[in-house]
Amino acid sequence: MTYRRLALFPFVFVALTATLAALAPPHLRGSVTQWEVDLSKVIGLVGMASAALAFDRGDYLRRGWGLCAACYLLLLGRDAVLLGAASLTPLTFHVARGVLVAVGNTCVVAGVWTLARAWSVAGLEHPGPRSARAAAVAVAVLAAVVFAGPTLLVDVRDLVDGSDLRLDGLASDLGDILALPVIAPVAFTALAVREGTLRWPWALLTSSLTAWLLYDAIYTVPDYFHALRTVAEQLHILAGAFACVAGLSQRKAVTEEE
Amino acid sequence: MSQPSAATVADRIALRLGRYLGPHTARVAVKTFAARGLGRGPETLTRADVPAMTQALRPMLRTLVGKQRCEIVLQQILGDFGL
Repeated sequence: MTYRRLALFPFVFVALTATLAALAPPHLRGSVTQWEVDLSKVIGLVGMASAALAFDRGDYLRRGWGLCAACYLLLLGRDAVLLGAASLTPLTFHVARGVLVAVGNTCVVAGVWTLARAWSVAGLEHPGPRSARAAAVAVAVLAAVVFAGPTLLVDVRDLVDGSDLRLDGLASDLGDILALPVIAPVAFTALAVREGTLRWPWALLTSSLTAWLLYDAIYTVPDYFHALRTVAEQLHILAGAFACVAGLSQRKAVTEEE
Repeated sequence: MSQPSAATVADRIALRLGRYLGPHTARVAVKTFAARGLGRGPETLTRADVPAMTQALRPMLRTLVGKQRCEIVLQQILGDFGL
């Protein structure tokens, strides 16, 4: 499969999932969307694991892609816990969810930071003036704080006053705030290799992180814009689909013969 | 066989890296690692410098494309110069 076809896949996938969700009977729409989100996590896991396994043990990028794959695996585990909620005590349910999401978010933060640092670890400097790069990082940090910060504040408030012990929500918010600013260095890497085959994994990874950021952005909008929540879930699916093709294109770039 | 010109050595190394990094960044990488590994500009590179250049490029390539692909690319560069 060509890189261009891989890059088109997330759009085709989301067109299908959005159509399926729209055609589903209203009482089933939530379940259908959750199934689609889980499917996007499965393909995200497959893509990122396949990228990690394209590298040898000890290779720098094996760690980065592997940690991101582990995040998708743990988030799927969290969703499996949701399915088995009826057979678990409330404490077991909350602890299992909290641990899976906390470890998953630790993995994604470590994973995306590892990937984002690849260019400097390689001993290269990103293109463009240093001041412009610093400004882009500052904008990405600001966007992550603005979009994920309000949810974090609400979750911390609920935890402090004891009204809701959702440790998984807290871990997820912190993960977003720490992981999303790396959009800037990942995008700079994509820009640096824009004429080579490595542009595909880096550009598609940037797209996945951007979809995550937009997903968070929608959740900062008040609840009464309910239609936006449907869009948010499709962005969630898009992020997983982009993660899948980012990983597959990374594998293709390092294993394909000339 | 005539020895390639200095410019050709840098350009031919960059050509191999260009597949992955793109031509512009490949030239920047050759310039960066010629300075870092040999302490000279890319225009001064000769065929005799190619083995040292491959050593200088190895950590960068290994980070970005992994050990296996890195060794393939370095062998191709050496092969291009009959080494």
